[in-house]
Amino acid sequence: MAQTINAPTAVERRGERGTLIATRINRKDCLRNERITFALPVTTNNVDLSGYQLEVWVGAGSDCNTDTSRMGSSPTCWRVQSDAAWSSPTASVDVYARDIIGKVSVTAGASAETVCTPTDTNARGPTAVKLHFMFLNSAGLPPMGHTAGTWDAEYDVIGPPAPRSVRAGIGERALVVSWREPEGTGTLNGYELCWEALGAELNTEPPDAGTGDAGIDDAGTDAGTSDAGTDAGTSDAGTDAGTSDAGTDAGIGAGGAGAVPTECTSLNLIPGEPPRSGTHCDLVTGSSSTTGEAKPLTNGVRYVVAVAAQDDFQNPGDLSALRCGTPEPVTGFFEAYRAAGGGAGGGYCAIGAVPSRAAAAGIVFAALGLLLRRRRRAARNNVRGAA
Amino acid sequence: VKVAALVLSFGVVLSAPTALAQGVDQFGAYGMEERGQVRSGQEAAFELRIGPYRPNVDDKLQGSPYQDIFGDSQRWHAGIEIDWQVFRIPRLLSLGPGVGMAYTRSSARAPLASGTGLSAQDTTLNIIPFHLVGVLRLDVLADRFNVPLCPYAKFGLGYAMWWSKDGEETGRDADGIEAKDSSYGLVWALGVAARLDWLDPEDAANADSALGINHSALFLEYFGSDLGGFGSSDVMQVGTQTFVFGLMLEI
Repeated sequence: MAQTINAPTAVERRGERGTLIATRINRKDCLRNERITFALPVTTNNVDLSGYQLEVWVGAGSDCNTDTSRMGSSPTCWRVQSDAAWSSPTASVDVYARDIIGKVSVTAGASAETVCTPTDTNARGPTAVKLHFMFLNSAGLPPMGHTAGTWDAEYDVIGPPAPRSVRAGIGERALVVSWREPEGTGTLNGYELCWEALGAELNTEPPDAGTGDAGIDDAGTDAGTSDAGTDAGTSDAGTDAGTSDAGTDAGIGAGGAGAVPTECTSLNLIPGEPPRSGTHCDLVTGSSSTTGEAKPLTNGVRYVVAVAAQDDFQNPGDLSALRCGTPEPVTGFFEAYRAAGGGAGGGYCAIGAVPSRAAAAGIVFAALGLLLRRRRRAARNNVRGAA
Repeated sequence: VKVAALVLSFGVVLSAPTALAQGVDQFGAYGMEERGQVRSGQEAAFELRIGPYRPNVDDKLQGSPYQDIFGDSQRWHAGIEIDWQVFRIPRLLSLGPGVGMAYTRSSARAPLASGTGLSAQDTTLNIIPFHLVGVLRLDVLADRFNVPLCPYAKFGLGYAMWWSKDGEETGRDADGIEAKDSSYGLVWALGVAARLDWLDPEDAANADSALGINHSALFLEYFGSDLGGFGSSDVMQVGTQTFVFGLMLEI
């Protein structure tokens, strides 16, 4: 009689999953070493399993049912849980995310940083793994006729490369940021638009002003129409990683005359590194999105912005080059209309993309319905004519 | 003289009467290609419409905010219309109500309030105009005289919803009034539809028997709307005078 461990009937993930599907493990899951709990139906068929323990093994593309995959000098499967408590008919087994990744990708006992933040970017992209839930004895062998339960998953702990050609232009209480998608990425979930206040703008012209740009420096001088690559310290992402000179940021956030740095640098936004915890980032969803607004900002205050792509495992990638700008008031169409004496506005307009599309769809469906009715009537007439 | 002769002979050929049995067999419709032939009941017209759209916002204002912000570049609109041909005299005319809607959007970089240039932020004016009109279509030329043109006229009421955004936010003026409202007024149009069934009567007959499409046509119309709230100062004039062209199906 066979002893069978079936595939998990329930998998409980304790981390914040959001839209991330349950079979994916990302860098955040790895860093907090998320506990994953499996509920497994167990069928013993009254076979004595004393001397056996419930273990969980992981392999990347390997069948862990074979003894050679688990033993020997070159194993392709690794144990991630041993001696799990169980009782027929259901076992509840905990496995930790970092164990799954660490056993497959690096040597056992590696630090969280090593496991969850690998430096080899060639390893970028998902890795498919399969967990095997099996009874094994002290010699590492299963009982005769044993069938292991399995769970397929993927992990990816390396975010995508930094977006390219980042530009920032001035808006009202906002900086309008545009970028090009990074090269060599898979599917993206979106982009993280990160920003940080540098301090109040000087009342007097900054050193690089006086060129007819009304004191708008850096990327904002041309309203986003040209590359802002002239800023100090804003070379391409990756080249600046770890090279930020704290000394140049003296006075950041202090505000007031003489306290505003002219360099476009940040202690917290480091090009070539993922956004640090605590950094203010807004998600711009959609892999095709290449623009976004950093908002709400304060007019007259200088900000630094950077963009990181986010893959479909929701791993933030490396930050782009930094861009700086100072929001200032703009004159929108409606303001201009009101200033010209227009009295409309503030009224009812139940409008938005959805209602208008719904109305259009309604009319189209009405037309199609009428067409279908006509078609049926024509068919009936033809049948009568033929008769 | 040659041209006149050519046109005359062309017209004679086209106007030559045909006497065909009609019906539908396994190969499709036959015998219904004659111009003006009543093939199946006709109740409605459906239009896909497109054309330039420059709202007359600046009318009666002290300045020209639309012109100043959005400039001279051409703006377009697209829409649909359904006409119910309630009253119809076959091979002569049809009359009935029609309802339509469209969408147009103007967008430009908002100028910096300091006057030193343009910001990177877009400011937009979005308009969804609706109209409820009476539609008179004359079929007599196409159905009796073999001239595949059907002039028509429309007159009725218009209503438009509009909103303006600055960047990703709804615009506001200095007093915080939100940039969204509605406008209303009169709508009219004069146009002519050129029937496509004239080009291939057999296919047209098949479209009728298979889909119930009596006629298909390309149309060009001069469309006007005065959506200034009948002179109200609290209504934005989002009407326009423009040409509209598109595809029309009568079913």
